[in-house]
Amino acid sequence: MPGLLPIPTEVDRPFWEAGREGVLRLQRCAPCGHIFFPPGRRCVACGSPDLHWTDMAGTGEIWSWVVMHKQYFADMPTPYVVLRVKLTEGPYLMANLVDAKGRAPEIGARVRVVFQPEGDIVLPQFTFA
Amino acid sequence: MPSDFTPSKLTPDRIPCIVGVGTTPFRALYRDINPARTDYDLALDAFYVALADSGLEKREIDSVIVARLNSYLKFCADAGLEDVNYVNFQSAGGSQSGVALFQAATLIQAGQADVIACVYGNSGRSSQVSYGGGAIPTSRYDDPYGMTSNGAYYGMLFRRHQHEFGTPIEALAEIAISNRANASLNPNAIMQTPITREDYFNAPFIADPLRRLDYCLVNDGGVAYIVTSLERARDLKMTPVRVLSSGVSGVMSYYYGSDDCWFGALDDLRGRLFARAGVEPSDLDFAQMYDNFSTAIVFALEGMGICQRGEAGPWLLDGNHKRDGALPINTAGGHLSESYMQGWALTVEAVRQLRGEAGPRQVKDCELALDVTCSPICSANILGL
Repeated sequence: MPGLLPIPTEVDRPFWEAGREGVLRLQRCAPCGHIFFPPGRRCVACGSPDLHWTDMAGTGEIWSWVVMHKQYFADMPTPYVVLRVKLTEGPYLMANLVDAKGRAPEIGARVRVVFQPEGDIVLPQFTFA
Repeated sequence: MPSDFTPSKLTPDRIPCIVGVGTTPFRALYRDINPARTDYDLALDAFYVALADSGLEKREIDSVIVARLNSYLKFCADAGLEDVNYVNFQSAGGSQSGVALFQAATLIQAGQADVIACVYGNSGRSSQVSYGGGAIPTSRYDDPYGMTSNGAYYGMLFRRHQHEFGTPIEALAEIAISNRANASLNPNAIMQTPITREDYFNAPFIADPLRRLDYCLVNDGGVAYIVTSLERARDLKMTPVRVLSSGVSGVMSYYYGSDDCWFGALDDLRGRLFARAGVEPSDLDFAQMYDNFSTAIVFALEGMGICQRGEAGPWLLDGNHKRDGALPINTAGGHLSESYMQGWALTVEAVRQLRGEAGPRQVKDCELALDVTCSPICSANILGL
């Protein structure tokens, strides 16, 4: 059901390729240890370019959420839920709530990453943990 | 470093004043879609209204700040302002109207400019512009999930506010209702028919928790105002409206928002802003609050110390923001009912109220106003006579 899919770039290709392995992988700064998203060329905290792609636990909690009722994409029928997930390691990710089995989203609910192939991309999504 | 100034330390002559304002007919433009109309056309219309209102000669303008007009060169050439000294452009993205006034006031105060034209033009309705998207640094990673609209980001923040403070959704309804009631007294407002809570809740969700009546009205229009020093303003026909204090405070977050609904940034700004104007929030006679979405008013109320953190919901349910309330807000109808002009028309309405020109919607005996924007660049100006 994707919206607009990105074409991987030199900077974020490892993020998308990790999805093919079923892993959520973000950049971790070697000198200061900061983990951040979206991907960049330098650590947003200390400025170091010495960044290592690191496996995340793939868990987090719902920080907030909306239900989109206005259709922006032909392939994405409404309504659909968008979550802002706070990962256990700290960074935020947007995602849809998938396989909810009728359970409504709530702030603070524990979620875990799942991966869905969409076109040439494997998209991280979240479901209840 | 705090980014604001202290008029009390200035020679009174350099106190910045708004001396002329201009707007286009928002209501008529809303009903007259014309793809040939440009941002420049609209800005130019508003500019000449503001210039006539000020009583200044065009040749006295020595600086120009344009918003949303990609080429300040074209605007200045179109307006016959060939010999200006300082010119600058702001994208108007991130709701920078208050920043334009901050910039103009700072230039006047510093003696770097004497007469500044601030102009804004937006043909967004005719050109079917869509907001959001590229302005948000995470767009590339949010778009795959159908998360593309600014309203959805504000919806997420409001739901977080509800979670933390129990803020009722009815508070948003009361903002929409009050804006519309004010607009019903404004012949230039797009939407003038009063609405009820039933109307609010019957309107469809756009990004739940937000419904259609929480959203601004994208339109065509232009807004302009002229800023000069009190020294120059004294000779002009119009009562000058003084910029008593001006400040900005940013939250440069990836997610077009701030995890604390901008409370920290606004609170920091509030302390400096009111101290430097020598007034308290309780001294204000009315306020103009940036309302791209109704929720922004909830956040601004708390950040500006008009009510305690988490108390905006009850404060609104008590009707304090209505025309006859403790602090009337968005007296011309705001972005939800008058017209979305990215904050610019809110500033002009403040000037008209302070000059006593607001007709049937006039706030009685008003002499002190707050114009505040809660957005990635939070800005606030205290205006007074």
